[in-house]
Amino acid sequence: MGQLSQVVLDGIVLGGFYALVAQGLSLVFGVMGVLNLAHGECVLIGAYLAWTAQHYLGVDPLIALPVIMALGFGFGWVLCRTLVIRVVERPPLMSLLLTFGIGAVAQGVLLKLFSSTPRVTTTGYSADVVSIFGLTIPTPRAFMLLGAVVILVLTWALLNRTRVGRSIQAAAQNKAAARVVGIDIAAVYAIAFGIGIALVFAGGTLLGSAQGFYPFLGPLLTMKAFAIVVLGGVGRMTGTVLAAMVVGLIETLLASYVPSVGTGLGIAAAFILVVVVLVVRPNGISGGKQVTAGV
Amino acid sequence: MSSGTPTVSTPGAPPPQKAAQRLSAAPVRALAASRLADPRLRAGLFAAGLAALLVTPLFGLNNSALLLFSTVFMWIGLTSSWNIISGFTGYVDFGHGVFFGIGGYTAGLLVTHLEMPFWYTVPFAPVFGFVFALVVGYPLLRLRGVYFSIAMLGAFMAMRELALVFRDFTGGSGGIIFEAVIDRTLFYYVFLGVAVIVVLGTVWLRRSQLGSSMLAVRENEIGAEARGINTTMVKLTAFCVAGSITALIGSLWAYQTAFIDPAIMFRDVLLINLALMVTLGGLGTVWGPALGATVFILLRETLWETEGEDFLVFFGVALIVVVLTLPKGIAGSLADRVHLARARRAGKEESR
Amino acid sequence: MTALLTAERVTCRFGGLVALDAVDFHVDAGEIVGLIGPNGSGKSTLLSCLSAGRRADDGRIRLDGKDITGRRPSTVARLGLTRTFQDARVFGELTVTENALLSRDWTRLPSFGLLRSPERAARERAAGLLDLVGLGGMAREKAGSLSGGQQRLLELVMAIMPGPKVVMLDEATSGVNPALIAELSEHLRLLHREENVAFVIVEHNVGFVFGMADRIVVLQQGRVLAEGPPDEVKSNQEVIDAYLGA
Ligand SMILES: Nc1ncnc2c1ncn2[C@@H]1O[C@H](COP(=O)(O)OP(=O)(O)OP(=O)(O)O)[C@@H](O)[C@H]1O
Ligand SMILES: [Mg+2]
Repeated sequence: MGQLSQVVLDGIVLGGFYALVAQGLSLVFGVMGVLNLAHGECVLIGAYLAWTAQHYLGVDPLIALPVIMALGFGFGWVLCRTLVIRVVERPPLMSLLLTFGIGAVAQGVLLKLFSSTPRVTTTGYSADVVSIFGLTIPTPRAFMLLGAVVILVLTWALLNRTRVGRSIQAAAQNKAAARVVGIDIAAVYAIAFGIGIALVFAGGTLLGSAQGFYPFLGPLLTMKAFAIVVLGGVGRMTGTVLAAMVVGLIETLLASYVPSVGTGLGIAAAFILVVVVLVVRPNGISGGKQVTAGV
Repeated sequence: MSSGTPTVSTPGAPPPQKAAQRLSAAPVRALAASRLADPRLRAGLFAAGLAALLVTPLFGLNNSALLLFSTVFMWIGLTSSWNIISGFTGYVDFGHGVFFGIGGYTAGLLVTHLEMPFWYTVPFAPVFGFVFALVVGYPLLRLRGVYFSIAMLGAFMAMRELALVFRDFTGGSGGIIFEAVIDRTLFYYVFLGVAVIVVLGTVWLRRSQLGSSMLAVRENEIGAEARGINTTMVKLTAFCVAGSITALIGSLWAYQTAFIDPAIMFRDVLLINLALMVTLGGLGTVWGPALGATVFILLRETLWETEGEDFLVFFGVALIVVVLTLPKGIAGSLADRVHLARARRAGKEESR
Repeated sequence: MTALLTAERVTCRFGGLVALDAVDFHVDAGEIVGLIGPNGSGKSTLLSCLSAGRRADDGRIRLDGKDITGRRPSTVARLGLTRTFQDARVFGELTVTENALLSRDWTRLPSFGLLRSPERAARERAAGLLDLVGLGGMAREKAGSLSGGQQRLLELVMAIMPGPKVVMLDEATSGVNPALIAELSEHLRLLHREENVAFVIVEHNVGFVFGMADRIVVLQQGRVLAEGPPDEVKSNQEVIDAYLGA
């Protein structure tokens, strides 16, 4: 029993991280209709930035976090303005290929700079644990959950309580109408993309001190984020968070209750879950944009 | 069907001489259109090229040249079959490498567990590819474009995980070593055969009813359904055909290489290469995939001998550049030009 | 004799909006039915429900005695109920002939010239129909290069090709030039005679539809407001108030 609640807690912590990463993907996908296949690589760029800051400058990841997020926003903004904007309203294959290409370049550059050796951002509290109700969480993981919650709440407020956020939502719902009322769609896209990348840079920063990461992790993260977005329904923040928790829990449960092979089955499990959900509820757990062809 | 016979024979509505006038303009137009558009010329070129390729090994090509040729043929087979699902029906399969891996593992597992001779196992690869396509395709092909693409990427990664994890069965990351069949000439002809069959199959498909139905699905699925096309069946057929061909090629490649493991049978680079070659040649065109594969491999062999991370960066940049500058590919852009020229000439004729 | 196509109490909702409210509708063999009504009265929605493009929330639909409720649209089309769309849906990247031939059954195995007769019959039929609507000269052009009016005519050919029992036309005359409209009604009459097809004609072109139809059905806000022979409906005060105007 004690072990089960520990596993559940671990799952929630992991789910918090996934929620952050998936929200970035969901935002960009919901607003622009672009599925960013370089998403996982962006998480890793965030992680390597934090690692570099700690390793070479001795800056704690949590202190570097706001700067890294700002860098993420800038990176996303530039990427959108220069490349992604050219494929937004073209057939989806074009954006898939383009972001696939960006992902490949990012992976290659990360390999060149950091090699394929796994890294962990080590901090003063790396080995500490926090205990609540007799359960323990490593301190970096506690920060990961906490950070994810804070950033997600701020994102929610940004999207729902500010002018910019409302423009983004308007653009997500109806591009033509948003244009008519004078919203500069290209700017909205760039901002949404920027926010999306800022979120995943943050996710990477938090992940980096909680566990090891290496350049080949990217596609895996993209896949999980995608699975979560589909499970939760596109454009539904609560759905995304819920689905992230489900995926996090499944993963920790598999890892601790399926001997020897459980840890290696994250994608397979998430994928099977996605297929089952799509068969049963084609619009995701909480409804949302239609994902089927409509026949 | 109730009435398949021509019941509307010669209704007098449009004046018949008008049609005759139009008809007489047709040969002029055909002459004016690009010479390559002439099907007889194309068939002739194809036959001549094929004959040349058939006799080439007789003049003593060295092993590395044979390997280069068979690599080109293999990629022509892969790109052309990928094009059937991704180009013709518009359901872009971003995890198509999963079939390559399934083919390779079908061969590997049958050889190691059942001690079958190589060539006996060959028919099993496309069968398993077909079955996998059926099982995975039925739920996933209901998804709209992008969702399908990524879900297939998920299938690809999931199968790689399974191959890694079920170590006792698949050999895990240690892989499976076969008894090698080292006969480059043999593989040259085998892959040439596969490439020719797939390309000719594509030519036939594009003219067939099934091919038109696939293009109709790509353009407007709901409209296609309203015209009596069972779109689920069309999509599944395309997917299963593409999947079984790729699985067959995967198993042949495994024999040629004599070693498989999850990292090489389910490699990401395969996905990038497929996407890049077909986009370069022209997605959804008949000859584009073959063209893209040939151009790309010859370029890579002659100009770049890159590996590892440089290779990734190079592919990524190439992909971005192709998407931004040549979205319709070589064949697509050429076809556009021919069409434009034809339209212009037709316009001139009419204004006369 | 029972009707060829019957719809009983077909209901369709979009969220809170009731687009069709228990509509009864029928078409007899070989009949031409005009379906009219103000914008948004549910005409296109009724066609979608009948042709299975949209699943009705309630009601039964029968074609030739067979219950087709909840079938796939392609099945319904193959059983002999086809339609055109308000926004003509032709396939721009296919040639005009390929579009016309699209409703052939692709599951039939290729005969490679050995058993050509059904194939040739289909091609001849397509050529005949295309000539009929004046598209014969453009048979090898891509459908995307046709004008809007020509696309409508092509879509009509596509709907007629499989030899259906009922063809439903959603605003077939919109975007077709006036001279051609007269021709179009000739074509429809000819097809009607030669193939014994029943037509359901959704129209805002009142002259056209009253001239063609044996019977008129008027929809308003998802209900049948009036039904009867054209002359009777034309003089129905409710219909005049709701739709035709003075
Ligand atoms: N996909 C949809 N989603 C929501 N509401 C819809 C949808 N399609 C139709 N409606 C609504 O259903 C009602 C009936 O629409 P329908 O298109 O059937 O009208 P119509 O009689 O064909 O009008 P028109 O003459 O303008 O073509 C309208 O109020 C319309 O707004
Ligand atoms: Mg309408």
